[in-house]
This record gives sequence, structure tokens and C-alpha cells, in this order.
Amino acid sequence: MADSKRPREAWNTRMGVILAVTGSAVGLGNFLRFPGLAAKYEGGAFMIPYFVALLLLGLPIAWVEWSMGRAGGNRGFNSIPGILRSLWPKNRLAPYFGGLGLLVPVGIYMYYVYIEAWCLGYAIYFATGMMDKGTDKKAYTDFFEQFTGQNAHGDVFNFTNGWYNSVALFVIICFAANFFLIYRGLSKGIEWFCRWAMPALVVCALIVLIRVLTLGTPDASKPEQNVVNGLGYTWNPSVQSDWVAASDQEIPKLIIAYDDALLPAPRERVKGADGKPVEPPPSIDPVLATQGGLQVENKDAFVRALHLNKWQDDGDGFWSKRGSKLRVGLPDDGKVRVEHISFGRALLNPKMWLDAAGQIFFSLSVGFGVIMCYSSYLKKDDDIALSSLTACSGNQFCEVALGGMITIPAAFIFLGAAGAGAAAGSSFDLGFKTLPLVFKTMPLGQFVGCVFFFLLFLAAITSSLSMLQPAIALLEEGLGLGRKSSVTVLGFVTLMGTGFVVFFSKGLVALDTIDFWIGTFGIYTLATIQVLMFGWVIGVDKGFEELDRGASIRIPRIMKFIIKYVSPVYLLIVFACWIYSAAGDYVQAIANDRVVLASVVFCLVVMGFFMLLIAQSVRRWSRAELAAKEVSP
Amino acid sequence: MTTGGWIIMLLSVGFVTLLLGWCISRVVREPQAPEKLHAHPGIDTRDRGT
Repeated sequence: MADSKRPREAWNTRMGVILAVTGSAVGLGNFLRFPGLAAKYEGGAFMIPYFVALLLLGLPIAWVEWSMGRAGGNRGFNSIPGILRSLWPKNRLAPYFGGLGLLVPVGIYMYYVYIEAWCLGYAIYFATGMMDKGTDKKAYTDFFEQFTGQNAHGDVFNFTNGWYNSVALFVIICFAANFFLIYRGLSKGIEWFCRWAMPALVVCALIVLIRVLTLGTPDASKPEQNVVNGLGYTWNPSVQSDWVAASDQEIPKLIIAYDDALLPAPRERVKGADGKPVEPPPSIDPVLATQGGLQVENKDAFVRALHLNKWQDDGDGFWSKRGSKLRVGLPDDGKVRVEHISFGRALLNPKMWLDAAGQIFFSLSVGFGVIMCYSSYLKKDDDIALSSLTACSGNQFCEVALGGMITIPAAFIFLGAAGAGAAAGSSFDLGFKTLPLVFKTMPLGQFVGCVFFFLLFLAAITSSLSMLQPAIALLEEGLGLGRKSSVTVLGFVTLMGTGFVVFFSKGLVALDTIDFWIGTFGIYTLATIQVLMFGWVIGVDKGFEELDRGASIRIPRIMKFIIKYVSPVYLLIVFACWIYSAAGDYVQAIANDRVVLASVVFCLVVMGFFMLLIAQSVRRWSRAELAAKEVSP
Repeated sequence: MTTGGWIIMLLSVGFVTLLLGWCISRVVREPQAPEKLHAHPGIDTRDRGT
């Protein structure tokens, strides 16, 4: 039981808590990672697993977190260990599972504030004209690496280029801003800030969106690089395969180009997958092409045809003027195979399902422990069903309707398909190397760049702010510390962590390691614990009673089945596939790289620290409960 | 941009926009009820108004 003498904090308004949860969820991933994935899997196909994951994974886990948090809050707890202990009193280890609910947000905060500082720095540099580095992408790449200290460990603290050229200054500003707001408390700090920051974020996004959508065809010599094709590059429903992929419309054109330009006897040399000659262009039947693919014999000639038709080579594949992707491979028989993968076949790509589930999962901030902590401050009869859905839909709006329409189309319009495609695979590359170049080339680019990076800064700070509250809650209710002492203790711990990440900045190795072990592995583990606890420990019927109390909407009963069976299985499959595909390299890196090893040890030390805090809190809560029983037997 | 691209973009963007609009309109139209004080349902006051 929490300290009953301390006045309990609470949200001022329902919209305040919704905006705070939405702010926690909306982050850089909405504007940089989602559009990159949508473009990689060519929008149309990607959106199917994306919305399926939203329905089966994101929304159910969000409802689980909201209801567990409010239930724990009504029992007097706001920290994750306290909430889990109150919901699973028979298990003495339950509060210790909540250790992840502290480690995950605090660990992520340690590096997230560093990224937040990049956004703030870029916004200020754009505002002051310092981001004008010309039209060579290398200049922006070099600047980003120098600014973030990626060339050598400790480089961030090298002020020979001027203190204003180092990210250290912005880290300090962001760090102080976060702790100032968290010190002001739940309603006067977090809620107050999110109530103006989230609308401001949407306004900034709309300004950038309007600018992008009104660009038309900025370079008359490249008419294909226009807004409509930029949107098509993200949303057209064809996909790339490991071999070669092109849309229905592109394949015949490709073969026509090949035939017309290079082959002396094209009618005999263009074959279907069954080896029989295909009818010559322009009468090549797209259906035939899509059924089994086509084989062409001469790779060099084929590639020359692509060049003749202004397909751009980015080293990995070829990109048509309209944004279709084509990867040219050389199979064992030495022939180039042009294979079209239909929309239906594209959906069988397991990697796309994995990426879509991961995007939904991380984008909604489920599994962080933040939602549970936030909802614990709600009253007993406050609605959580509609509030949760509203927060999720706010996040999805920012991601799909704003993020999906801005970054990749803008990159396509100015850099073409090859430039956009090369940047789409990495959020940092897209955001901090490619987009500054795009804004440089764009009319009104200095203003739009400033607004865009300020938008990213707002998205980041509303997220980082939420990551501090779970630990503050434990320090206050578990150890009985006042707000000032809690903020001081947490400030010291996170300062050590952020200092560690910022110092070991070469190749962003510390950031990447902590992101992997805490920001991904830890989140999957915590989310699995939460969803299993809701469905199998609390019981799905009892859990739904909690969800239904005060609810403004009735959650469909099918969600009971989904939460109990589908979400855990879905989550475990995604988790297992992710471990299989990604964990090996990271485990190996622990043995090979001392900074990686130090980062992992640092995470373990922080986890140990939180476990000690939990043990002390449990002792304190037990004593208080015993005393309460003695007073009222 | 292909027809399929237009359809998928409009469906995706339209869906999330409508969902958000519907949610916000519900939240705004339904002010949160104050904490209710329930009478115990099992109590019969035997007050028949006489």
C-alpha cells in the first residue's frame, strides 16, 4: 500500500491523459521508421499485416495495460512493481517482474534523450541557417557523424569546432527540460506540457505535409520526380522480392525496353517461366508475366536496357522513374530472372509480417510500462476503453496519415527513387542525412526543415518525459521519498546512463546495444508478462469487468479470445522470430567488443539497483499492511 | 501512382483519420462522469411514502 499520508496525484482532465499517452507513443518511429518500412514493402502489401497487428497485438495489449494500471491504482499503487504485486498477491516474485517496468523506460530514456538532442540541435541549426551544407549528401553525412560524435569515443566532448557544434549542449538542455517538467508533477508537468505540445506537433506536421503536397514537379528536367509519383513510391501495392520485382505495369515495359533496345531477335529470346517464348511486346500479357515470371538470357544487355530507360542504380537494385523496384540477380544458370510477385504472394513474406508487428508494437509504446503507470492515476470509474482506443488512433493518425505522407515522398521528389530507396532502410539515415539535403533543395526548405525537426523534438520529448514517471512513482511510494529527492535520485541514475551513451558514441555502439537489450528484448519480455498475466493470472473475465467499468464504449467480446490466446501466441512467435534473426550478432558482439560488454554490464547494474529498490519497497509495503491489519483486525 | 496505390493510401489514411475523429467526438461529447456514490443495492429502507 502506498503512503496514505501523501496526497495522491491525479490527471486533471480526460483529454489530458489521452494526450499524455498519445505523446508517449508518438515518436521518431512514426515519422521515420514507418514510412521507410511502407516504402520497403511498397505500402499496399505492408498495410495488411500492419492493420492485422494493430488489431491482434497493439490494441489488445494497450487495453491490457490500461486496465491493469487502473486496477493497481485503485489498490493504491502507481509503480509497476506495486501494481503487479497488488494484482498477483499470491506470487512473491510478482513485484520483481515489475523491475522490467522500471528498467525499460529508464534505460530507453538514457539514449532517447541523446536522440532528442539531435532533433533540437537540427531544428535550431535550420532556424539559424547553419544547416546549409550545399547539395552534396556527404556533407550532411559528415556533419551528422561529427555532431553526434560517431568518429571516436568521447568526441561529443571535443569542443574544438565550437561548443555550439557539439550535441553535448543540446543533451544538457533536453535533460534539464525533462527533469523540470517531471519535477512539476503529473498534472502540472506532464499533462500541462502534452496539452500544448501534441496539438503543436500536429500543426507542425500539417505545415510540412502541405509543403510536400504542394511541391508539384520542382525540377522540370525530371518530370517523373513529382508529388504523385512520390506518394506512389510509398503506397503502390507491388513488392520487391529477393530476385526481381516490378509492378504489373512495369514488367511489360521492361521487356519492351529490353527487346527494342538491345535484342536482335527478341521474340525468340524472351521466355516465360515454362521456357516457352512469350508473345512479343507490346502484346506481352501482364497476367502471364505475373504468373510465373520471365527469363531473359543476357544480364548485361538487360541492365543496359534499364539504364537506357533511366532506371537508376543504387548499388542494390534498380529503380524506375515511377518508383518501381527491381533487383537484378544472377541465378545459377546465368540468366536474369524477372519475377513478379503478386499481391497475394507478397503477403506470404514472413519478414514483412515480423516488421509490421514490430512497428505496431513499438509505435504504440505497449510493453514499456508507461501506459500502466499513467492509467494508475485514473479514478475507479474513469473510462479506459475509449481513452485507450483514442490514444492508439491518435498515434496511428500521426504515423499513417502524417508520417506516411511526408518523409519518403519528399525524399523521392528531390532525390529520385534511388535516393529515397537508399535512405528508407535506416531511420537515422533518412532523418539526419537525407532529409536535411531534401530541405536544402526544397523551396522554403529552411523554414520547413526547422518545423520538421522541431516536430521530431516534440515527438521525442513527449515520449522521453513519460519514461521517467514509472521510476519516480516507485521512489515516491516505495521508499517514501519526496518529489525533490525522487527527481534527484533518478536524475543521478539517468545522468550516468546518458553520459555513458553519449561518451561511447563511436558508431553509436552503446546506444545500439542498450536499444537492443532494453529497448527491444526488455519490451518484448515485459509485454509477454503483462498479456499472460491479464489472460491467465487475473483471468480474462475479471480483466474485462475492469475494462468495462465506466467504459464509454463496449469492447467486442471476441477480444477476450484474442487477448487470452491470439495475442500471446502472436507476441511469442514475433519474439522468437526476432531473437532468431537478430540476437546472434548481439550476443557475439558482447564477446568481441568491450564497449558492448560494458553497455550490457551497465544495464545489469541498473537492473540490480532497481531490484534492490523493489526489495526495500516490498518490505515497506508489507510492514504498512501488517500495521493496518493490527489497527483494524 | 497506380490505382491500387491510390486505393490503399486513401483507405489507410481515411481509416485512421475517421477512427481518430470518431474517438475524439465521443470523448468530447461524453464528459467524464463524476465519481459516483452508490447506495448499497441490498438495503430496503421500507419507506413506502406513507
